Amino acid sequence: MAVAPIKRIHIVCHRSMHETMLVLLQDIGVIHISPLSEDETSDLLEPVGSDTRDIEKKLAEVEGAVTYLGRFVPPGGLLSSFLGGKIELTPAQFGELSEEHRVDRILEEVKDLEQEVAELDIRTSRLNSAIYHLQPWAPLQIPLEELEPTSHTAIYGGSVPVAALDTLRENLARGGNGWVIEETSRSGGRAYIVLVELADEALDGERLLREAGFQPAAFPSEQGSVEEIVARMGQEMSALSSQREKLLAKTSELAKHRITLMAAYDSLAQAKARIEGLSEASGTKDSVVLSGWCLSEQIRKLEEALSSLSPETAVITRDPLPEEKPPVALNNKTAVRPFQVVTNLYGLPKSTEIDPTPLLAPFFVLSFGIAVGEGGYGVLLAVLSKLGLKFLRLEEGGRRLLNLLFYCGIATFIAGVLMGSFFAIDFASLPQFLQPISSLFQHLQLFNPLEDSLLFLGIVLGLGFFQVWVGVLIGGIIKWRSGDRKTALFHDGGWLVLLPLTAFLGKTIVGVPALYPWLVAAASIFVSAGFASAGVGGKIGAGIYALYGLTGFFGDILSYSRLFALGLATGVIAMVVNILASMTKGIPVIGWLIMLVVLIFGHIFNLAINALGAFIHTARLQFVEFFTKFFEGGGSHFEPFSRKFRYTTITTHHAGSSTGSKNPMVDAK
Amino acid sequence: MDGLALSLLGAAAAAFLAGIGSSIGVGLAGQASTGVIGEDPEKFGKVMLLTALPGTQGIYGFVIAFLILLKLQIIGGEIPAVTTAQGGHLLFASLPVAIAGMLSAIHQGKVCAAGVQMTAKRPEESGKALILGVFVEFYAVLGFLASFLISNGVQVG
Repeated sequence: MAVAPIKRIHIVCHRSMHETMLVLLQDIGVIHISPLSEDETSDLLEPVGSDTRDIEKKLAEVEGAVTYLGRFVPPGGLLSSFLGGKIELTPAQFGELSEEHRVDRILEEVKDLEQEVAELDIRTSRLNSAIYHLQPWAPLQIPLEELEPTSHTAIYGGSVPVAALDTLRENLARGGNGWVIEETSRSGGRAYIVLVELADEALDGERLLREAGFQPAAFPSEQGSVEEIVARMGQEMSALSSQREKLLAKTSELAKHRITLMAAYDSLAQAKARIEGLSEASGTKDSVVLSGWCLSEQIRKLEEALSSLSPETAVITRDPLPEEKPPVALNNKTAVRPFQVVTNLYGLPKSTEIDPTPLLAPFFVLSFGIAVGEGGYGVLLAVLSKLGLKFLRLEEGGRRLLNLLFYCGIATFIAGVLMGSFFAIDFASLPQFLQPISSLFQHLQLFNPLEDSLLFLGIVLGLGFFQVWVGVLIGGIIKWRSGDRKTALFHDGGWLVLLPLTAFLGKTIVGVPALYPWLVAAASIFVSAGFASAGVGGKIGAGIYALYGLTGFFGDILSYSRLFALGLATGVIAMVVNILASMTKGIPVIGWLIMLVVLIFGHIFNLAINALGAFIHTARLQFVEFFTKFFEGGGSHFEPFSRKFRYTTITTHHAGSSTGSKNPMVDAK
Repeated sequence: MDGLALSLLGAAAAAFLAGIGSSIGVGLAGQASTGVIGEDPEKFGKVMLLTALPGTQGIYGFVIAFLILLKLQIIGGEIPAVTTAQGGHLLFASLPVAIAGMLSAIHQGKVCAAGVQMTAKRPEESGKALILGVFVEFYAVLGFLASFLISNGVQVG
């Protein structure tokens, strides 16, 4: 039940071979690198410098290209967004794909194409905006290059507010009639005009225009009339767009090499991890010391692998010191391992604590079963999770979750049958030929939660009481073992006696009123709480506070009433689905079809929402009501230095030789 | 007032008040989720669970409404005579799930929206955000429980 035993290790090797050693360590994935502590290091050792900037830049480039090419491959659909499927490769394929020169060539091509498309897009949008701005000038017949002042005339092209146009004309007329306004069009409340006037000071058109709110037009420096220019720009745009099409077609062609870039990314990421691993190491001129943690059971594997690499390595191991905080790995039997999902959700135990996984496992399945409490849903859940395990490619965490759901499905089936609920079918109304099945279910039914709801509530509160009591018991045992026997005996022992007796207050047990032993237990709790406090006042205060903890236990146990409500809700919603479905039977011809659709979607929806609710509520019961009695948590994950893949996975069984040992496939520099 | 009308008010209130709460709650979480998905579509699965969480109150409300309707035999049956007192009983029975459901869904929505933002930063911890959301949900579950127990105890006709 304890967490997996762990050792502190130091690996020393010659400086020339640290790269090969890191590749090896990454392959076998058994050590959690952590730098030398202050006590372990000496003045002789210096950090082994390393720089990840170059490789990070390259990684970002590859990632960008993978994302860009991702737009040209069909999306994977909703399911893969949940599962995040990875591409399977054999080690040989992976090595071939991530060869540096291949990758660089593709990367270059993708970058060029991306840039060219971006340039085309900029040019297109420039043309677009130029055409947009020329639109109001379309009726202008004269070529734009002739809109130039001469020695005798001045010329202005631009727009004024429509409302100001008449005033402008009147003002110009006051200065004489050596001017003409050509209005080409109106749009957006502005009139687009060209004003030609004699270069005569009396006219002063420039000032009058300014007063009218004139905005000069920015004509492109092109030859010909507006119409001709717009037509030319249009042609240019369609040329650009066909060019763009060609580039995109070329890119989609390249998208089949996306897998190369993905392999390259993973290969680079591992090279980066090695550089980061090295930055945790220290060394002298000729040696490198890498320190970390290794599970005791894997030390042999590590030593064998290193000695096969070279005799010039040394592995020094020792037990962790009391003041050290080693990382934590859970260590459970196969049957219990799926429940580590729940423990991980809360956080890992400290290295000195026990692993609560096997303790919570029976309570978790039981509570989940009651919280869903629907036999049919149990079968569905168990079958679906088995199918998922068979057909989905999942990583360890996903497999554990599905295994856990499989257990939960079975528990749900049992709980559902005992509560007489199987897809909320009304067994009494089944046709005659199904009579044996319905009488079987009716025999197995223990009680009907809707009719005997108080009995149901009593059962879940009883479960709550039992789990809380077990929690206190475990807490007491832990204290007893750690040497705090007085507290374990009087405090936790007191609660263990007091809690069950509370239910019988006012009654007699084997002739003795339950009140007497209850008072003895309460006195024991009261006195033991004062052990740690100084002074009579402090002891009394601590004692009263400890007894007040009884209300906390009531709250904890009442919290299990959620199982009752959730269990009822599932059954009732299933019933509602059935009633809604049966209502559609009256619809002619397609009534049966609609009924089927309502039944399938209704029940699957109900299962999904209630299984989620049951899972989280049940997890909460473990964390808040159970863990608080004996468990603190706060350990850090044992994360071995290993190969981590983002886009691809390496299949091991295809490889001719066993993986591990000297595998040079990803030796990106 | 007519007993039947009172009890129907109860059924309706259970469904619509809890429904309003869930809509607001899911809305809050959903807005936060769209922001996260915009940055990283791969987090959809994780934030979807958080978004769906405040939706349960609406279901609890609907279930209570449905149970009251079943009791009144509105769905396929002879509607029995409901006295004013009985109607009042059923109306009161709906209040816990209606009001506790509505308010808890809104607050749960806020917790879940914050959880969605946390998931954006640390996707591996999204389970903890779910647990925190469930802390709020418990009071809707209790409301459902109270409504169920009250309405179950009321005899009609």
